[in-house]
Amino acid sequence: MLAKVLLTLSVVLTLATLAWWVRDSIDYGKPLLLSKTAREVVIVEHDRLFGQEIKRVELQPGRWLGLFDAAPPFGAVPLCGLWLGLGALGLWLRKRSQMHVS
Amino acid sequence: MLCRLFLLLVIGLATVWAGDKTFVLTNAGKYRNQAQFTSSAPLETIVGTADGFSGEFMLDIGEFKRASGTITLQVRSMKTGNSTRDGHMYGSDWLDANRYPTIAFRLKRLESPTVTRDADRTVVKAVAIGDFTLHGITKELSADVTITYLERSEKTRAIIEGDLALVQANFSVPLAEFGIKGKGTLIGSRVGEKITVEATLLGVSK
Repeated sequence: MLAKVLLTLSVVLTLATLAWWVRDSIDYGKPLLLSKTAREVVIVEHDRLFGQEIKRVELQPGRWLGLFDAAPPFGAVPLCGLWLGLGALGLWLRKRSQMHVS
Repeated sequence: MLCRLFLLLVIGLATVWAGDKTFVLTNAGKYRNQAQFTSSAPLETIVGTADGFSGEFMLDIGEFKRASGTITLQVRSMKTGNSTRDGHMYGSDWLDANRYPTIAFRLKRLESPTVTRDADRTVVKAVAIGDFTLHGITKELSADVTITYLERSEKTRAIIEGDLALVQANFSVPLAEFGIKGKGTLIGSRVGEKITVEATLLGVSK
């Protein structure tokens, strides 16, 4: 029973984490290799006083999941590794229980 | 006779230097002193901002050949949109903000200025030459600059009191030349060997 729960959790959490990364990357506007805590908003406007195009960047705070962050907050790959580890544990438990049955 | 010569000298010097104005970097209204820096590497493009500017510069308003001044940036005002990465950037493998808390550009002169004047403004395109100090190392560096100079008027008064000089500069910084080696093999794969910088600075005359 525990093995089945672990395997199900593993699959669900892995898919959810990947979906979370895809959603955040789409929201951010590009595939995120590393997590982001702010988004650059580039504003280019023609300034009538100076007669020039003036570019400025504003940082909009937020949190977007990246792929490879190896330190907290972890990225999708380390998280998926953890979930797959749970799945591996589930498989091992299932194999062990089958061995006991036989 | 000597008095007359001295007087002539003073008048002559005053005429030559009359066009010199000193501008202090100021944030006024929507005009913010800011730089955008970009690292382009095969695996990642990093865009960041910096806004901790201070300093002043002198411009010869007549011909725009003579210029001087020092602009300083606080390293810890540089942000890349990832607070963990910002921490690494300030660390000893990269900019080492504890030992070198500022980046400075000491302007020495403007080369090849092309000046366009109209009723409202003077626009100068030139190459600014100066000493760039980063990570404790100073090297001569050139920047393409566009300077838009406005004499004080009712319009400028709406922003701030004084003549205004808007400086837009583009240049690139080769990290290796400033002793920045980074961690492992990140430079060249995830961090560009050169960082391109676009800065917009507003100076107000003293």
